[in-house]
Amino acid sequence: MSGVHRGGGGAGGVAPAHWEQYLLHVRNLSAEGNVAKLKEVMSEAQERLARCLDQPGAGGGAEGEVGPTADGEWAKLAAMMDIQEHSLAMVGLLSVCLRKSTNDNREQLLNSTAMFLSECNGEQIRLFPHIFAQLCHDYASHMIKRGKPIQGILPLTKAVSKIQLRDKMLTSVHSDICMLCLSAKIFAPARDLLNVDFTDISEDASAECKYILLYFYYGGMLLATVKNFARALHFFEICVTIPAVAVSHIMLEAYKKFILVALIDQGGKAKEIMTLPKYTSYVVSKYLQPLCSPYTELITSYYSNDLSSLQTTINKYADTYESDSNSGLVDQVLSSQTKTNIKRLTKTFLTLSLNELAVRVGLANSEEAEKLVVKMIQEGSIHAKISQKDGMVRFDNNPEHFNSSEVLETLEAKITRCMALDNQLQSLTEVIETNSDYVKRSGALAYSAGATSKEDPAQSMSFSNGSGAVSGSGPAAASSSSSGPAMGNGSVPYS
Amino acid sequence: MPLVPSVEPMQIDAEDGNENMGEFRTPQAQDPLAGGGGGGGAPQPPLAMVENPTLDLETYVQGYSGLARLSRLMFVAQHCPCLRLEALKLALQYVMSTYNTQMYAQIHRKLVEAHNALSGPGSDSGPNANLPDLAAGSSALEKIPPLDQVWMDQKAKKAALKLEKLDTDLKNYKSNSIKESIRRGHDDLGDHFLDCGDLSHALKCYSRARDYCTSGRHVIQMCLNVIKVSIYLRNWSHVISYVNKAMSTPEFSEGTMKGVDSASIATRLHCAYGLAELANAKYKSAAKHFLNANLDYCDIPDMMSAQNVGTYGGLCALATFDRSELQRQVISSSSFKLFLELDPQLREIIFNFYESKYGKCLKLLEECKPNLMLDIYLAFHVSTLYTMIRNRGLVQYFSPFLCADLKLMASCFNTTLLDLEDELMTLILDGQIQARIDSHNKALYAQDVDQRNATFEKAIEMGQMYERRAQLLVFRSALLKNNVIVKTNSRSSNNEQGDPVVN
Repeated sequence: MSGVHRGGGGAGGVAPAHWEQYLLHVRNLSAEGNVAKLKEVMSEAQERLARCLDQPGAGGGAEGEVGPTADGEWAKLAAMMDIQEHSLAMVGLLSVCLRKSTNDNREQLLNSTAMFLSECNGEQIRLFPHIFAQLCHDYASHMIKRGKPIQGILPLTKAVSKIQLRDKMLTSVHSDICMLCLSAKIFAPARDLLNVDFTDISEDASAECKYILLYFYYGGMLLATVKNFARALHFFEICVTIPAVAVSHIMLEAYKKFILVALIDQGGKAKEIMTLPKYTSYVVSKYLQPLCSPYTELITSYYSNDLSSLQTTINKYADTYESDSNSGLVDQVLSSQTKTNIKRLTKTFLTLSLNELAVRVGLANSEEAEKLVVKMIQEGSIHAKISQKDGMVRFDNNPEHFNSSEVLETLEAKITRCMALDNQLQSLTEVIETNSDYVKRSGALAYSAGATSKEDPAQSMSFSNGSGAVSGSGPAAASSSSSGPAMGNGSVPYS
Repeated sequence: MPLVPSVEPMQIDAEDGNENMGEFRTPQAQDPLAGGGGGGGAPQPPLAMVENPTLDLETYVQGYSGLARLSRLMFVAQHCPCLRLEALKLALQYVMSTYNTQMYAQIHRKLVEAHNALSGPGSDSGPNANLPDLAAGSSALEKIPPLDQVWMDQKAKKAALKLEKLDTDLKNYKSNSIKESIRRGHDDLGDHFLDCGDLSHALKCYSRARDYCTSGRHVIQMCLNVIKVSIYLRNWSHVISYVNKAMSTPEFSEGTMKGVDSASIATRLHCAYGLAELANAKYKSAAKHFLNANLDYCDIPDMMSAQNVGTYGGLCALATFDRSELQRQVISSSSFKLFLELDPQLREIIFNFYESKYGKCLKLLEECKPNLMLDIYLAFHVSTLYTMIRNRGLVQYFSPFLCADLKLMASCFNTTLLDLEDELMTLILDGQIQARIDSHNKALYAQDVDQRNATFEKAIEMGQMYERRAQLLVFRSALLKNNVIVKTNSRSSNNEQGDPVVN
């Protein structure tokens, strides 16, 4: 009993009985786990609803009862369905309603969406997360358009847990949350989220990697605003090193910010920080880097340690930076160069007159130098004492002697974390090493081909596109070079 | 000698199209006086003109033969206005004894230009006067022998004849299939090409001889030939690989060859290797190789003179060896001492350095500089080597002190306080001196690096980096597992959509 095409109901919407059928259908299919059929049924239902909502009202007037409105329809449908039981069915219909809603009736719809997001049944959703994710995206963009991003954050946070199988799974909804936080200019809700290190990616995110890029891009921006530059750098680096064969604007912007944040955070170290890891896709070096010449020039003038040359470069490209909305970061780069220069002086001088400090670093006069040094001492980036009597600064060594119990605690915590990470990596390596494809290609074990096929370990975690079928199919399995890009060169994830 | 005017509009190598002469053009990327075009893409920086060399050209070039002499003379001519004429004349004289007609034409042209530029127009007969006389390059400035076309044609014909003869000989040998004679035939052909100045063909011939080598000796012979040509071509990687090849030939490495031969071959190989390392700026390794040379068997006029070996080796050693190595391997070495005798100035310098008389040492170095700048292989490295020597001096000066007075130090090294501070800053940042400058009292205090603290700091930093990288890797494996790739397809959602900047 596939969709019964009753002629689209008249001005009053679709017949309720029809929907009952649909609900039943969906419930059965989701119990079976028949995802393909589900998709079919749901899209059909969506179409029908969409058509119904598209009908102009009978009277076409403003007052009174007009054609089916989105929220009106929805209210009717919602009455029929139970959130927990029919979550999956509702998702599709809700998203259609939302899309077809007009400005005035959207408010109600958004509220119901919020409620739905918070309370829907995760198990059902997980069968078919794409539609749900799409709903979230639409919801988020509407909230922004309405100018009330804050309200959207909470429901979305709850929504995330509906899709996630595990705690550390990245979904596309994460990017929406970050987007809302940025737009609302608040950081707190995202803080916990941004501290999570993801180890897995959900289906909806892997289908549309735009959201992964966006998550890291927005996340990086959020972190940069609270001056957590180290982690922001981490995020931008991830964003830029996502495998790619095509150019993405998101990556381009992320790369520009990567450069700026790297200069701010790690300008004191050698220039090699700027180099991206080996596994960055060639797209970056071939297409992106040439497009970022104002930024690469910034790098060279930064490392010339000359304040005035940096200033000239900045002035030269001020417009570019402005149009990229990066001026704030660029200013911070400028001040970070001065600080780096001062730090370098602490390594070579024991005492230095303020005047000479100003000259060497490129500041205007000794008062400015004094102010800056005081600020840096307070921040803790250098250790020094100023003697105002003779205008001298005396640089001291780091008084931290690493012999307190706090240090011990921090060290222990760090070591534990590192060991946990190491274990994780070990287990991942093991999984690959026991994969029969890998074993065949690396020829690591010297036993005959005949015996191989029977002895392949059962827990072959195939990295291919679900085309599984690895163990037990003998040498023919080697021809399954559909074992995707991941297996193409042995242990590539760890190169 | 008339005074050289300070500005000479001299065009060098503007129109020379013979690529075999490439090696004489390439070292100079630009003549700073004339805005001349660059040479064949050489990566070396432009060299300034040398004004006051104290070089006696005639004795200088006695130590070289063949193309080595010619190239050196050309280099001197290019870089030293005051010795230009003399160098070119000597070169002209010498080139007549070879088959190298193109070289001859080039030298002659340069000589004419130099002469005209020097003595103004009209003071001499035109270059192509109809006097077919082969006047020897006398020291009288006013007469330049005109371009001897007759000689050129003669030589060219002779060369062609010889080439033909050698070719036919080679063909005969090949038809007889006697390996030894084929090999010798190739060698002769290579020699002839070398004499004519055709280096690429020479290289080809010598390399072809490889297939016909039947004994270790032959292999070594072939290697030596290739090395020689590669040096002229400045193909240093070739030189290095062939030296290694020769050294690993069983006969040579086991020393079963006759005493004299093996020693001289060893010297030659070491010198070639040292030269290649010098050109690649690996000074320490170059020094080590030069120190292995043996004066008694140092008979390599087609590469460099014995004095050169001493100079190169001594200078590189001074720049890179530490005190004990300098003492052991240079000053008290019996074999290298003989080389140093040939260059007493350098010996003085080394001794002064060792005795910590830095002021004197540096002054002597400055005096030597013009002559060294005229050396074809050393010229590009002189300033680097000097800086290295100076830095080493500074480090050595300060090493016994806990606290040193900057004023004294500055006077010792002939600089001002401010310059010294800058220099010391670079050295400290590089890590060569462990000290801090007390600018208030103008003193330098030795700094004890607290190893324990440093270790802790490094460990924490390393831990952070590890965490970050490991997380990147784990996430990346998740990406790969899920086949996440940024790509374009018909779905617009994967396409690069506009700027996601929300603020």
